[in-house]
Amino acid sequence: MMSRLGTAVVAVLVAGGAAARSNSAIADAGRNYDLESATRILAELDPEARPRLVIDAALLVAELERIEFEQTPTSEGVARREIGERIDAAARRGLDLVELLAESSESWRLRADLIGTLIRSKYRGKRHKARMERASATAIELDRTNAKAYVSAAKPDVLKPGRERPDIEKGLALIQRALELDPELESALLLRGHALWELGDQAQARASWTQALSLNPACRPAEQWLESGPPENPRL
Amino acid sequence: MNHLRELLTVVAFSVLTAFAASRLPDLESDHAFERWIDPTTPSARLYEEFRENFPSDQFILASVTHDPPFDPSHFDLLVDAVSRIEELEGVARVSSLPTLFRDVFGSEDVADLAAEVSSAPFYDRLLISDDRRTLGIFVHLSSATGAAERARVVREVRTVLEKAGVADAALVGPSVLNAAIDEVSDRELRASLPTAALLSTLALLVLFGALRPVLIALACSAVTVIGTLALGDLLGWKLSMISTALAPLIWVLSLSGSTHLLASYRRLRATRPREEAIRHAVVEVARPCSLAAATTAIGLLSLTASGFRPIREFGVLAGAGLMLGVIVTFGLGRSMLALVDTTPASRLDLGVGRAAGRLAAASARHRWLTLAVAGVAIAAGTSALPLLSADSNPLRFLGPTERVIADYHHALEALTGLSPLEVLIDEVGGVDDLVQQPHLDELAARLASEPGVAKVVSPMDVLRKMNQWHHDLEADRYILPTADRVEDVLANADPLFAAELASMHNAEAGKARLTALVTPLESSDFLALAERFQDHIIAGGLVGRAHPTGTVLQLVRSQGELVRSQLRSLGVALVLVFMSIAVGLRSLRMTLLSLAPNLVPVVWVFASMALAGIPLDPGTVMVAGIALGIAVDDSVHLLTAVRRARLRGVRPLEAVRSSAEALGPALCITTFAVVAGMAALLGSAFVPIHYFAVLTTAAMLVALLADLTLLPALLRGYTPRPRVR
Repeated sequence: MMSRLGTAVVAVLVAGGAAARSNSAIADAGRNYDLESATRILAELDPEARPRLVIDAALLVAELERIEFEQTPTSEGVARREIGERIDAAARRGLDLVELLAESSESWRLRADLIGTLIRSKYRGKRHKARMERASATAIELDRTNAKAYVSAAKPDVLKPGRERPDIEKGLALIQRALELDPELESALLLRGHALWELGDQAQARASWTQALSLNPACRPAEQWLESGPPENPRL
Repeated sequence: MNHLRELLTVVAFSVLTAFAASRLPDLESDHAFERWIDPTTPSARLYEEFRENFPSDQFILASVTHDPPFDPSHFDLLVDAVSRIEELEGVARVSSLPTLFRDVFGSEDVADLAAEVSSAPFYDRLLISDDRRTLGIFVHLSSATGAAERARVVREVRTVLEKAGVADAALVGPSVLNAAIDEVSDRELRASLPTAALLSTLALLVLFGALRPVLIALACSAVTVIGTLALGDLLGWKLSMISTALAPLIWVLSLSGSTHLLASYRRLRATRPREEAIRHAVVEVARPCSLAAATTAIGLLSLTASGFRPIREFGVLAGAGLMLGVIVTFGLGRSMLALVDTTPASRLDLGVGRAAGRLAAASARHRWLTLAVAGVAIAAGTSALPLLSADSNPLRFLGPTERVIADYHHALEALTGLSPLEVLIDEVGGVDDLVQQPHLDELAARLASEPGVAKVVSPMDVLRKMNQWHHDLEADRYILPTADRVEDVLANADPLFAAELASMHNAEAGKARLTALVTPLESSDFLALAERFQDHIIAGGLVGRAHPTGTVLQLVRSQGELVRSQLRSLGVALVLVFMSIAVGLRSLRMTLLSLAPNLVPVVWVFASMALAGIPLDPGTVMVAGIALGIAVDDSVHLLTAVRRARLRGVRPLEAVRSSAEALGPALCITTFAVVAGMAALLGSAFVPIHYFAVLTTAAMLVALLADLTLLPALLRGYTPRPRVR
């Protein structure tokens, strides 16, 4: 009995240790914008044993692929479609698993961000935006201190081109709330810079990206945007 | 003989001609349709209002067939091409499924694009064919773009498509057709004019039987044509499609003048010394040549009353050119004769003269038979005139082997109509008012039901599509938004659709447009369609608020008015010409006798057109004027000669015979040299040039025949009254 319990405890401890290692590896890959590592981790993870880690890895892969996608010009249709397919595959894998998680603010935030990676065109915005907005709103409703959820909620307002400025300002307010909750949240700093750039305040936008870069010297988007501005037609 | 004076004259003409020739490269041609629109008419003012409120209705349509059509790699090619086309100067915007694919679908979801296209009839017969195999890329040109710029954009669009690997795209639209017409006419003229000049020269060589008179005749004609064209340049005028008739007209009539001088000289040279022969020849032909040129010039000056600037300019230039021809003939021609001399009349000359004399004498001898035959010919020609149509279809200007024609047939069969007929609608208010006006939708449906209308593009359809997109692309939401939701729909509209709506509805001015894309029709059918549009407007309760307009309608109306104006001018010219003859010959009887022979070529030009199915258009109607000029030229010479002979006491029959014998070589040489030149143009792939050659040939031959048969028959009974000094 004891030995079985011991085995179980050891197994849990081993699993916990592995999970902690994987979690740390995902965090490192995310911090370094290392798509290769993120893809390898996602391939190695067992979804049944650690669904949450798989979701994190899937979201990271989708978001890092997304950066590649944004940098690929529309004239390179084949390459864009290939990257797009990889993003969709990672996001759908994450979305399938997120259904298995207990309902929480974070699960809804993950859902919102995964849906966000699917939105790469106006057409896809039409198809997925409402689901994303519902998911981020639910995430905030369930936990008003979830800083990442505010960033998810701000994305449609900031990144949708052609919308009126009040939408950007509404998005900026959500980002400010996220930064109040977590002043070092990299995604919030990047998005704030983007919103300010759109509003014409380039100095403040650069300050925001500089802050993100000082917090994470490997922050590739901040580096690129400081050099040449954000992409002209970003989606979510 | 003062050779120095003659030499100085030749040098002076050479210097002036060199100066004039140096101006010719600057001579521009402008085929812009705007030149043919009389801005003072109510329809032109309506069109101007349309242009002020909406972007240009000029477009280039690239029709691309591919199987399967929704192939991602094919769309990649098209996206690349469209992106490059958008960067071209003069392009306002591009409407196409590849644009939608790039801007809205992120160049990713081609299957979803296919589903969106099938969800509503919005794109049908505009951006995609009914069989879903052909895509339409509409390149809208900016309204400030002129004819030359439009032609440049057409070339650049074609180059972009070829470089992008879409070389098989069919490029069509009014701008493409105009550019092709300009290109083909220039190419054909470049290719056929040297041959025409060569054949004409060969004919002159054969008929004169010597090189020197040919050189003199050619030099006189060339100097006159160059001088006339240079005058146009000095006045800052541009050539138009009507001006294409200018050079041949001046060439023919100036050739006629110099040939008369040369023929007369050669005839006299057989019995007189050179100096005396020149002096007598000048005395003999100066008066009829000047009178003929003056009468024709006065007739041409009547064109200055036209409402169309290119016609007025043609009238002035042609009139000036004819008078210049007289100066050149009796200045340069005379001096060249004095310097180089020529052989006396050849046996061929004499033979031609004798034949002409016999024909004239026979016609005069059997005057009643001749008059009867002429009467029958005039009656037959006149009876054919009702068959004459004033229709015009620019597609028929080019031969079926031209690529643009094949492209037109492809685009028309696969995709849509290519001639836009616009309906400008006033007082529609803003967009929220627009959705509450079902009669606009009804009108669009009525217009679309008309035969020949492939598609009616309406702002309501754009609003439907915007509403569908606003409701996440649900197919059953392809309906007009309710008035209270319009603001929301507009606020969230994609810029692509917003631009499309702005091109159809000017909210600030409260004006909208319906664009009917019409298959190519004869001009009369197009006008009839516009009339039926007017009926629909009345039936739809939009009287006074909706008006058909657009570039094509303006052009069709202008063209009709142009033909009517030229016919009126021809009538005025006839009156002026005969008044000039009356004044010049100081004889009302001679003038009346010259009426029939001069009218026969004109009647027969129109009759030939009617019988050959050649429509009366601004180009072909010019030939009647040329026919009149040629006929008058020939008959004035004959009338003067007969009158002189009769005043000398020569008996009527002999007066007619000897005059025809003396003038026969000149009349025949001019006619056959021109006919030989025209033969080179008969095979032209540019249909107006072909028609011009056919009709000018007919006019020349009929004019010669009338002057050698009908005029002698009429003159047989003529007895001049001696002038009292």
